[in-house]
Amino acid sequence: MSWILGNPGNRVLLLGNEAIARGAIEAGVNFVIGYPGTPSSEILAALARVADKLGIYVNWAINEKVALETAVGASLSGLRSLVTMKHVGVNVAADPLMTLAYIGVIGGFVLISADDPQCHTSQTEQDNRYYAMLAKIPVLEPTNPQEAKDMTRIAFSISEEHQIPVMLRSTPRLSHTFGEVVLGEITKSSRKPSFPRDPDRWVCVGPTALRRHKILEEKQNKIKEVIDNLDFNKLILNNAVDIGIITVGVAYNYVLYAIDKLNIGDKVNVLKICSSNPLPEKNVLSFLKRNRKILIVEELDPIVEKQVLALAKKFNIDTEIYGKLDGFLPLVGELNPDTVAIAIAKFMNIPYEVTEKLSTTDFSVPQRGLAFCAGCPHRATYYSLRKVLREIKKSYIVTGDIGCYTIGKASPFNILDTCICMGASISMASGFELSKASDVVIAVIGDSTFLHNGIPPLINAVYNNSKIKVLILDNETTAMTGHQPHPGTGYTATGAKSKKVLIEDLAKACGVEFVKIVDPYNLKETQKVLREAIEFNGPAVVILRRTCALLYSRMARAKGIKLKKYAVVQDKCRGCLLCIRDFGCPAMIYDSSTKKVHIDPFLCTGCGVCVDICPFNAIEEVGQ
Amino acid sequence: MSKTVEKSFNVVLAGVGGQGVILAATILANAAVRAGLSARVGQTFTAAQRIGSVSAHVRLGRVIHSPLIGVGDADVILGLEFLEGLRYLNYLKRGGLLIVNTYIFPPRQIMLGQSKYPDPKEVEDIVVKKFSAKVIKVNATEVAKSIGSSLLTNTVMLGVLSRVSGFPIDHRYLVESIRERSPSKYVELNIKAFNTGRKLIPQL
Ligand SMILES: Cc1ncc(C[n+]2csc(CCOP(=O)(O)OP(=O)(O)O)c2C)c(N)n1
Ligand code: SF4
Repeated sequence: MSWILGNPGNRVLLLGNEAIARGAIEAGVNFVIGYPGTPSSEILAALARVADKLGIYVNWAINEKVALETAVGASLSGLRSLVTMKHVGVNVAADPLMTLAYIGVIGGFVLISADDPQCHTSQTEQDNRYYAMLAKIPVLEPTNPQEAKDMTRIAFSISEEHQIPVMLRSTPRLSHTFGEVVLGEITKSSRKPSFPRDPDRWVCVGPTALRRHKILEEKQNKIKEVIDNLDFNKLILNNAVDIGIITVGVAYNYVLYAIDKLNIGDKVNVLKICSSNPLPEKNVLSFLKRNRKILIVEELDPIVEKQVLALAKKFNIDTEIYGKLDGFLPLVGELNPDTVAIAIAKFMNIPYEVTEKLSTTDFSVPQRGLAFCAGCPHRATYYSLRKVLREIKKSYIVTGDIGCYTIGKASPFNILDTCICMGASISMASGFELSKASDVVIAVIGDSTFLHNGIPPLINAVYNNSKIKVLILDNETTAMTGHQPHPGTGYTATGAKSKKVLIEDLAKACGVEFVKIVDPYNLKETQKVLREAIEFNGPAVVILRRTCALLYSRMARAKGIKLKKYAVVQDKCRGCLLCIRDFGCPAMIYDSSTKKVHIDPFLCTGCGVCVDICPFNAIEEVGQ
Repeated sequence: MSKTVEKSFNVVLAGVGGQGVILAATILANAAVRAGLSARVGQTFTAAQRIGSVSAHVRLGRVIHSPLIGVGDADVILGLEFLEGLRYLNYLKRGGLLIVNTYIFPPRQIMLGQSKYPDPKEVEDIVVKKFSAKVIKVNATEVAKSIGSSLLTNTVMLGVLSRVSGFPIDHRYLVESIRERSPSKYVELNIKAFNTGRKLIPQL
């Protein structure tokens, strides 16, 4: 993807995340680290592809806290550092972030927080701008890919000049939006790392911490002025109009769309700001003064809104202020052109008919439930687990975790009871087990998730003598977020080799005495080991190791390796549908005219698991 | 402020995972940018897995801001799979155009008899009669297979789309864009698929 290295002045189509990557390159970034998480992952992936060419360090870390702390080391060595993660990743990295704001940075330090309004791919839709407020650091909120690039670049300068980490807040409608971007000059960085030793600053405890807090407070006014003067704050004014909209980030796009659709371009003023912390106060104040009433349109929590209310109060301005607090806009879910148009119409007291549209209820289109890919090893694992749990005649709880394997919650397995955050499967399982909530407690966790935050809870289970059974579904990749490598894979973000950290060694080192590895494609063996683990009197770990089928089939295609293929012998198929009902491989298609199942050769990855599932032995290998 | 919604050309692309919906959207937007226009592609979330519903909003025009289309504002729904094409009909504007591949990838509930296919006849009646929209059905997957692989379905469909009246990009830019954005092994096949798609319907 050479276009992110395009020449200055070129106008190219970039994904928001690629634009952020380009902004970092233009700023002369030296050090990039992060942990995958939708919608942030493509930033680091794009930089990894050009890392060698640019001579910059790019790699994945084991989790977000480690990523952020590693980048602190680089920044204190004077290097420009970029850390990428999704919003919930900042929860994990919050501890170092708070202190980093106190000690400050040397090399420009930019933290990307990719939020997820609407919980498209997340467990919460938390608004991470609160983290910027909590840490007292600036947050920039781009509107489109062009701004994503330009703001990333500026973020580095602000960070370095004021020795403060800067957050750039994205959402899927920025990160995952393609748009045209005019490229700028690339800064060629020739920084020599050098750490200015200064224990009175970097050893942040007691009086030092207090002194650094004071310094952080003293920076705030200067930074506010910088933010207030940025060109990214945009004002659209109509003479003699005294009604206005304040908006920030991606929401600006919907405001423009709605104004257009409602045909009120000459009836309303618009102020788009580029940050909610610090609020560009001068811009907001003069806008407040010239408008009799204002609507505030922002993604997620009413953060700008509350500050504008406070500002109006402080300066005795009686402008009416509307937004989320009074229900003009929803507090739950992401904004879109329609919700914004409805809110603006109501605010302006103009009739608005939602564009005449075909109702989706005129005819119903069946939903496609979440499903594992054809050949997914997780499907085989859950098939075995469900079989064993049905046989043992004991009560059980299965705690889940986050990854492709969370789909085990859905039909046909319906097997997961919980999922809250990475690593929690193991700790929650211990909680259930120690509470004696059921006879058997099973935790299901992926390889990347285990490494991310599963190790301390496993040690704790051993320490607390909690007899949980931990299934580590090791598909040798971080599949859900786009197949990133991790310490267990033996290679880095740029494809270089690294030492392979073995999950079985880790499990044993945690003190677990029952550690077994099985291939989930081997149903019999898997079921045997699962039974043994359940019967074992103590915490047990079963590693179900088999490469992700999607990753494997891509690799095979790239290397010209032919996959095995299977077919249903039509005469033997009795149309019982057991395969589709209990196993649900999407390559298996039921033909209602012949009342028989066949396997789509294009989708089949050749795992062969279905051979052992068909009670009539109707499935056979048919070569490649 | 000038009005821009009308001046934009809005397409909802829809299909199932693995059909190349996002790539097709990228090719379209990239062609628009090459032609000097503004473009946005807003994607629905896609996890790595195959098989789920995937869609993308593509907006092309002189000045484009929003990555999302409002309901009832799409000029065209381009369905790479039959059911997915119907799923987003609420985005179609009155008098708009539904271009849909006849290929069906059956959801599991249907195979298990837990839900039913919408009756294509009934759908067409509603879309055409109640909504004065047009429907074009193409067997793009069959055509793609005859060229070399069902993976080419997306570019066959782009070829069809490029023949629609009001479509704002010259097809040469699309060919350039296919060259730039599709995996190198598939460039020539994709161009062939695109050109074949162009011949599947008369200029509209
Ligand atoms: C703190 C945090 N960081 C990142 C994510 C995003 N995320 C969701 S699942 C996942 C990893 C899944 O990998 P793995 O456990 O190996 O399971 P797989 O998808 O491969 O089955 C990640 C990184 C998250 N939900 N929470
Ligand atoms: S991407 Fe891999 S792990 Fe995820 S569902 Fe597909 S085969 Fe399974």
